[in-house]
Amino acid sequence: MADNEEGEENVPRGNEWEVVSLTASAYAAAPGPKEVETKENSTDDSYEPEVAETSRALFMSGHFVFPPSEHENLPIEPLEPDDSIEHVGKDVVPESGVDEGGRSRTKGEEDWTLKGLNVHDEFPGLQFFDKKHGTEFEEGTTLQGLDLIDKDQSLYSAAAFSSFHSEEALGGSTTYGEDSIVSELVEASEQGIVFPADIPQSPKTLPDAKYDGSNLPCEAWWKRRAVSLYTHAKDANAFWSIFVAAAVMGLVIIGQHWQQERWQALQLKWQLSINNEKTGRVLGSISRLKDVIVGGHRRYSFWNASLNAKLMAREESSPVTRRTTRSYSTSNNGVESTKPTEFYKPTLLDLGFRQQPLSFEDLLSNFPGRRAQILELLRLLGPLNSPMFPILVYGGPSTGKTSVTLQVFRHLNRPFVYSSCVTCYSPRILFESILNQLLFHRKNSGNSYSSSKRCEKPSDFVNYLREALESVIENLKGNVGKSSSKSSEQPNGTMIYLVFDNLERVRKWDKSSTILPFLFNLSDILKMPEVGIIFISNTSPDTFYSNMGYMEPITLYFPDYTEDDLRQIFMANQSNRKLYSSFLDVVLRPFCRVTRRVDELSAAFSLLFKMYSEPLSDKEAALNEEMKRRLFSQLQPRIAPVLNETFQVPSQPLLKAKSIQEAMKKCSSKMPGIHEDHDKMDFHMSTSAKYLLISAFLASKNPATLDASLFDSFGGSDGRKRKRKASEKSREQKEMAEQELLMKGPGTFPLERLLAIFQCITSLAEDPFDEEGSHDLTIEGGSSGLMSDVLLQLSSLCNANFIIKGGSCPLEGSTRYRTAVSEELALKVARSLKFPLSKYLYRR
Amino acid sequence: MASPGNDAPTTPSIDDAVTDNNLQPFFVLQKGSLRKSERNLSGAVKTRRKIDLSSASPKASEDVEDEREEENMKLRMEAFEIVWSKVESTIKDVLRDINTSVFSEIQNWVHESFNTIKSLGTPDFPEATQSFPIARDASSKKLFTGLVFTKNMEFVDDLLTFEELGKHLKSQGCHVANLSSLDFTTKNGIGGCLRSLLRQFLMSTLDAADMSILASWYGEQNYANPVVVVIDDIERCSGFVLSDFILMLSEWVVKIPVILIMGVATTLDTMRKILPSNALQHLCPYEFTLGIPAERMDAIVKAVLLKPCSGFTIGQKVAVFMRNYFVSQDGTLTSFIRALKIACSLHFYMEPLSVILRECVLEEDNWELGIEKNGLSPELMLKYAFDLPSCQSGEMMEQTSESLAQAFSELKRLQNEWRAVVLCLHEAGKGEKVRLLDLYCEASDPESYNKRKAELDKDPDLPPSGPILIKGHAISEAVRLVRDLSTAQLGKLISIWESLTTGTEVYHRVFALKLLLKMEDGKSSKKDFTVTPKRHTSRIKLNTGKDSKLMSDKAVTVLECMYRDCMQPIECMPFHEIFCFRDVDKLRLALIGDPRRRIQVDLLEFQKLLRCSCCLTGSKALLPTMHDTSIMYNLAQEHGDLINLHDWYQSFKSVVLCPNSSKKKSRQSLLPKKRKEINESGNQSEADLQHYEMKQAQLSLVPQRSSQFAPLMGVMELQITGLIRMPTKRRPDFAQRVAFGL
Repeated sequence: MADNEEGEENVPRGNEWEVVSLTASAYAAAPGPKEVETKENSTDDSYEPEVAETSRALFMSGHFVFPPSEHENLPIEPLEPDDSIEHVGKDVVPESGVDEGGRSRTKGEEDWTLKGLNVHDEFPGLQFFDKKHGTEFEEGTTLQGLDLIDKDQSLYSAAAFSSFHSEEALGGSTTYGEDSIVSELVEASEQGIVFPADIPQSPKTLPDAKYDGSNLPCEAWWKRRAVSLYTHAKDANAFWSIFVAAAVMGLVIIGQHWQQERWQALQLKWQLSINNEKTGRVLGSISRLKDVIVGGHRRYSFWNASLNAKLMAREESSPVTRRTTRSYSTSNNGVESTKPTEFYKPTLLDLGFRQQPLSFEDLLSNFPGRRAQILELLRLLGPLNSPMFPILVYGGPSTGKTSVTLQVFRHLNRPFVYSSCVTCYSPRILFESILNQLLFHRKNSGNSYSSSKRCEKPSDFVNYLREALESVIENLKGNVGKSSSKSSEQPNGTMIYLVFDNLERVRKWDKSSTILPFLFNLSDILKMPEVGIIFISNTSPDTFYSNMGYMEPITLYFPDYTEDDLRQIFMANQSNRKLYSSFLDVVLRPFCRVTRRVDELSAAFSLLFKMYSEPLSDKEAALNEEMKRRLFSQLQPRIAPVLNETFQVPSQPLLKAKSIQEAMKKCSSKMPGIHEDHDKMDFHMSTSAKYLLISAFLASKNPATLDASLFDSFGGSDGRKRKRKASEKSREQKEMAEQELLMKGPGTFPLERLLAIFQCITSLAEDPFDEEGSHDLTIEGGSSGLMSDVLLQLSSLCNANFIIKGGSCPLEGSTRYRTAVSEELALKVARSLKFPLSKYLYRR
Repeated sequence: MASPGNDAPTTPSIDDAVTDNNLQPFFVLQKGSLRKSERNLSGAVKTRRKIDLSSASPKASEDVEDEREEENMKLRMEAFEIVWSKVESTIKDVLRDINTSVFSEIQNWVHESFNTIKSLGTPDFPEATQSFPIARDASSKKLFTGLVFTKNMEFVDDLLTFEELGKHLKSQGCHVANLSSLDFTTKNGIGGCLRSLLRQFLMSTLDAADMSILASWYGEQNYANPVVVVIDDIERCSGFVLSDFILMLSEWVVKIPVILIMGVATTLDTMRKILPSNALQHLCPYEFTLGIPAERMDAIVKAVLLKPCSGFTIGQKVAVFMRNYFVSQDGTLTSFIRALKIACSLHFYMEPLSVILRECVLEEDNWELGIEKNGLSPELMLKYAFDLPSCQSGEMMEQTSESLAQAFSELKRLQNEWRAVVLCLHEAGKGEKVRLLDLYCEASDPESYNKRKAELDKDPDLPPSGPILIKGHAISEAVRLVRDLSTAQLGKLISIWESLTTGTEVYHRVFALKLLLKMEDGKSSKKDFTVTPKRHTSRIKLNTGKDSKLMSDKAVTVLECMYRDCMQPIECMPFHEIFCFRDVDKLRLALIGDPRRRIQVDLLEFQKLLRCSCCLTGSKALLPTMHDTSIMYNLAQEHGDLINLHDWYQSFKSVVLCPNSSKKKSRQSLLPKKRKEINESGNQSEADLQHYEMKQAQLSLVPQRSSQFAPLMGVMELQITGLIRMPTKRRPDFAQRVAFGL
């Protein structure tokens, strides 16, 4: 039945379907149905570790190699849809699950047959739904998914869900029912395809297995719920079963909706990844990005999930807080005992955050607009003691990557080793800093500030690191044993995480070509499931990847803040909220167009807010509209300069500011732009240096061919003649050339040209600056008097960055120079010499 | 004659030639090393040798005379040491005083910003040494940065300033590290500057410099004091390294309260140019400004030349030269001080009686001329003193030590008066752009004094203003400024004058002026009290304005009178040669040198240097005994910018070889014949030939003179000295003349 439909439905999709059928079994291997099994076998404890083992083995191989049994099943499966579920059951739990799977199957059939074929067809749907929830639940925090199922079905099944979906779902159950299987299958298979190509996307089996294995307090609870659901389903009458079916149907449809976008993106990626690996990668990152967004959306829509998560987090954190408050106090004691004479001896404690763990709400509320990222990061880190893939956290600067990561660790209270590649500016420092932290070594005058190990080569590092990690993990494990008695003060779990911040800096290191692949490969090299690696970078992952054959880490994107997020961020910790919010009304919009970096904005805002609130005598006074308008009109002219300026010097507080204000007032009252202070040079330069600077400026700005006509009395007329002749076309060409000149920036010039222009200028500017005595001196000394020190002057101009000395040109063999002087400064210098610079400047 | 075997003896002879002749080019081309050697006395020794030659008075070698001369010289050098150390310490004090206000301002700011950082919370030791940042809020990553604008493009002057700043802050309990731009080179990278930072803080060298080391070091220092990092010269730092450094510091700023102080030579724009915006982001800048160099120059001139300091002064021409050198050439105080030192050493070298200055320094105010103390024989000294031209031109005095002492004290009195007036003028024109050095140059001009004196002699009732003051000059500018002052400002100015002129003859005039002002003041205030409220206020203003006008006119008159009567430049006094250095040319030679011109002159007039007997004929004709390069250069003078190589070579050949002789003959056989023909006067000799060889050896590195090779070597030498440029591809047969100056 499904077969036919498949044929009909998927003609346009062509070859994709082949893949689908091929990987349907892979899908089957996915943990989805297994959960149903676990529910069914919730009483059977002995079976769980086996599941964990098999799936883990599958997963740890790194690829999804299909077990032979699955391949055998392949041709059968599409033919016998009724049996597929059984097969699924078998595939997943080949050893022990068969009988029970079969049993459950028959039971299920018995139940569903009452509702007719349609409903029977829905059954895979239900399973799929469960599976979906499995994924859902894996993507979120561990418990919430299953919890959710319980809730949905046991609590809300009657009221909430029916109201939500019954209208369409009941009607749709017949029409939708048939092709829903197909589409679900397609989707499922799509997901199956994705597995090998995009492993990081869905590390399903592992967390799942871990979940089963972990001894979380709520396990029994949800199991009970699951059982009750099952019995509900079993014992229900016809109405109930239809109702449940409808609910399930609705959920399936929702599921489709969720998956729709993702599905398309993935499909695109799949196609492309066949054709072109590179574009595929680019698209992959795009789809990854989309994935994050979709995921976020999904989670938002599923309010229950987060609600539950919160609940759980609270449940989880309450004993933790109790535990760590004690640890905090003890660590405080430790601090007090550290006198400068006796050196601080770090312990395991120092691998944790050493502060009271944040509650989940606090974590979320501390980072407005980062909810999705926090949840995603929590999901990627997985529950306690679960291995993880390397993660790459990336996003623009000042989007909260580092803070979120650190605070998440604080929330989880797990041990981690942080190293920033800014502070650790070379591989050696990086390695040694990591090792020092792992070996509980602190540099102090006692050990003459040396590292614990001298380590420069990556190979040494791996050896040392492994040793250190093993001992630390051993230590942690010992603590876990103890922690059952709740006496431990250590961070949770036996996982240790290595955090590499500012990874983009590594690219600039000398040995970046070897270090980067090494870092990305570190988890593979170490092969220690207890080590999690997190990279944090300002730049997108594509800037790191080369064809070095390492596994790409899972990426987590931190997008720029939206305007609302920024408002929330800036409103936090404001004493006068009303005033500040009215201030933000004025300021935030224009600034958001320029930058969304929190650090930049906060610098600009702190200054502007001072200006804004300045006219207010009583800061606490109620703000009325009129006042707001007045403040706005006062602030308005000052926004633009701050917007344009990246670097401001407040200088000696207030005194200068007032004078600047006065100057501004003067400026606005007079013609803008004419400013007396601008005429003055604000630093001292000797006269010959000034002339040299001007000649360098001319040499850079003017084309070399013009020199003769500018400095020669005969040249001028020639130029005019040529100008007259200029035709339309030549003018165009000229414009093009100008454009080019503009784009190229200041030109370079050889030393000879500079000296020639200098000579011309100094001879032209007959001593308007010299006074009595100097006159006869210059005559006496001749131009050589000025010349003798020119090279010295040139070198000091180079030192002051006014003239840039380029490398020697290989063709010409001589050094070329270039000025980096702005026209303003050049004009200023010229004015101080009373030199008519604009006369000599070539324009248009 | 010219065989390769001659090489060995030639080398020392070249050296001798170089050192003995002390060619100016060598002196100048090693300017950098000279600067260093000038600091110690060896510089003075060097100059002495040079002057020895240029003064070139081949004395009769009397042993006794020599010995005495030597002893005398030793005494003078000692005196120089004393005088110069006094001047130097004065300069140092002046510079320090100028900076004190800025320094204390910086220090306050450092402590303020340290408290700001501390208010964010002090981390405990494990927290401070942990690897991850303590995140508080966006502003907690800000680095407090003091930008010290040095207001001078040249940075040499301020090296000392920043050193002093470091010392000052250290004395206030900060941890200070002075980094220079050499620590921020791309070659050493960020590791280099961290290493030197740690070296200065920890006093130990570490191969792996790391911020965590600094953090734990700071933790051991109990977090009590700010950490200040002074970076000399931002302009020369590599932007990449500096921005890395800033980023790194900003990550640690809560854990280590680092405060940066950076010297900016030019403008704020350089910061924007050098540093990327993400580094600028982390700076929280404050601005400080050091005094502009012209102000410092004024202070130095005031302390050294216008306040009684050492007794040593410079003449007008020297002052003008030094001023011009400062304004238009170099622009650094360092070079000004260097010039002053050179002048001082030259003075002590040349002036036998300069020993007297030593007493002047040692017993500052009340020095009396004590001939016996100076270790000179009194007769000799008197002879010297009364032989001085300044003494001879004036009326004849009795040649006794008493009259000499009297003359000295008179000179001192006049000098003090002159100084007082100059200072008064400077005080008047201080706010505006009247520079003390300009005033000094003008005031010490003997010509204008003589002119004034002549006019005054002609017409003693001449009004002080008028032709005496030349418009547009510093003095008239200062006088004009006095005219515009209000009464209150005038009162202030006069009280300053009073303090400046105490102890001089001008004082009574100033005092009179002051009394007048007081009287006027009392009158006007009385008037103000008696004024009925009905009277128009504008009228009062007008009135008082008139009063102040009247007063300032009086002040101007006094000033002009002072200028006319009391400003006798030192160069117009007898015996001024003992105290005043006047030889500009020597100073210029020592300071600038002008090597290229010198080379050309020497090549054209080599006879003066070599003083060989063969070429001393004084004729302009080219002789074959002349040096090859010299011949080549002389011939090149006949060409234009482009020199045809073939022609050049031909003319060289025609000069060197006898026109009649065939080219194929060897040089060896040719020479005697040629000489015979050329030296028609017949006084040729073997010695002449020898002399020729020696000369070749002295000047050229290649003793051999073959007809093919010699011109080539000459051309090469000319090219090395930068006088011609080699043929280009476009014109293979032409060499180009590159001649500046001559």
